[in-house]
Amino acid sequence: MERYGIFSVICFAYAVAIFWMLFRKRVTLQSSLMYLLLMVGLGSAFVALHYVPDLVPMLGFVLPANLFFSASIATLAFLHLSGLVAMSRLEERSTTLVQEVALLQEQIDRINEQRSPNRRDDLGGL
Amino acid sequence: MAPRRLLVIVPCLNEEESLPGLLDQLETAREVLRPKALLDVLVVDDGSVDRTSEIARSRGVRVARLCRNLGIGGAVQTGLRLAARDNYDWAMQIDGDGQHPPAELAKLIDAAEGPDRPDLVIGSRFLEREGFQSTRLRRVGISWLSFLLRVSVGIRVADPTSGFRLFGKRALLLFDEVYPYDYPEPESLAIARAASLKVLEVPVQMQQRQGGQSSIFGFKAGYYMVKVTIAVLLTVGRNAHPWRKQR
Repeated sequence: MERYGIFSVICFAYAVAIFWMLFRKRVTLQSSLMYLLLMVGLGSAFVALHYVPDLVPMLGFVLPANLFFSASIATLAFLHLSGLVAMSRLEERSTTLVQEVALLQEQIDRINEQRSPNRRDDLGGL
Repeated sequence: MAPRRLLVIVPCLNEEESLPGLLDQLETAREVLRPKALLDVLVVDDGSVDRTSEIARSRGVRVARLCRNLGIGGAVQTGLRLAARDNYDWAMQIDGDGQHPPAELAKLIDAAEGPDRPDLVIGSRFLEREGFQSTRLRRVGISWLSFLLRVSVGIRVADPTSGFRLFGKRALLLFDEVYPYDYPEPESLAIARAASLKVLEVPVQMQQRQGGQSSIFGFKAGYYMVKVTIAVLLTVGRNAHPWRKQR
């Protein structure tokens, strides 16, 4: 159990770092909640290590560390995937917003041009 | 018949060298085409760092300036959105680098008014093999994309990467909703086919770019081929899915 103590401390340190970033508004709670739960979960897992030796062979692992490692990688992969989904949605929205801003600005330019007494009637059609 | 309203979309990224010449040619084309189409020009400045927008504004054309670079697909879709909202009959894409001579516009318009009434007309440099023909390596890539579109969506297009295009009303409504942002030309053909749009290809002459350089070279050329191939196959897969057809 002591062997996993350092790993647990690192996980809790990550959790504290996420809390700090939440406090400073560097990340939002909805985007970091899963990550936070993962780090707290992994950090607390060493408490359950007494029960792990029975679980490890049932899942086809030789060492508890292998189970720990595999579970961590799978969870991180899931978190990364959910991050990709969120990023793709944001990219889509950001692109639409950039287009809409450009189209609105174009409309404003045209209105200002029509109001302006010095508008260039000769080229207005083109 | 009353002349149709046509919006010529010129997507530009740092094209201050070639843009004045292109706008001059469009002014000439505007007079020539007046009986058939009332031509407006929209320059979509895709986040240029040079004087592209200022030059376009000084010439009195419509300018939509994107506050960040979206790529050619995002720039063209901006123009298509404007055309759909302002109720234009047609929109036409012409690259800002001078590859597409405005003197060839009439060929696409004639095709759009022809008996087939296509929704999307593509200007092809390979049907009559006149004018600028691109490099040999690029032609190999274009042949692959042409083959891919033929076997996957059953569309026969010799020049699927051509950006010299005329969009009819139905195409405007479709691409207002969905248009690929990254290397859009071949994928947009698959989307058009999936939406049962009529696509027609007509021979045109193209020129070498008048300024700037292509964004597709070296490693990017390989990325382009892989990305576009997967994108076309995904479009086919999405539309072949039974769930999609039931909606």
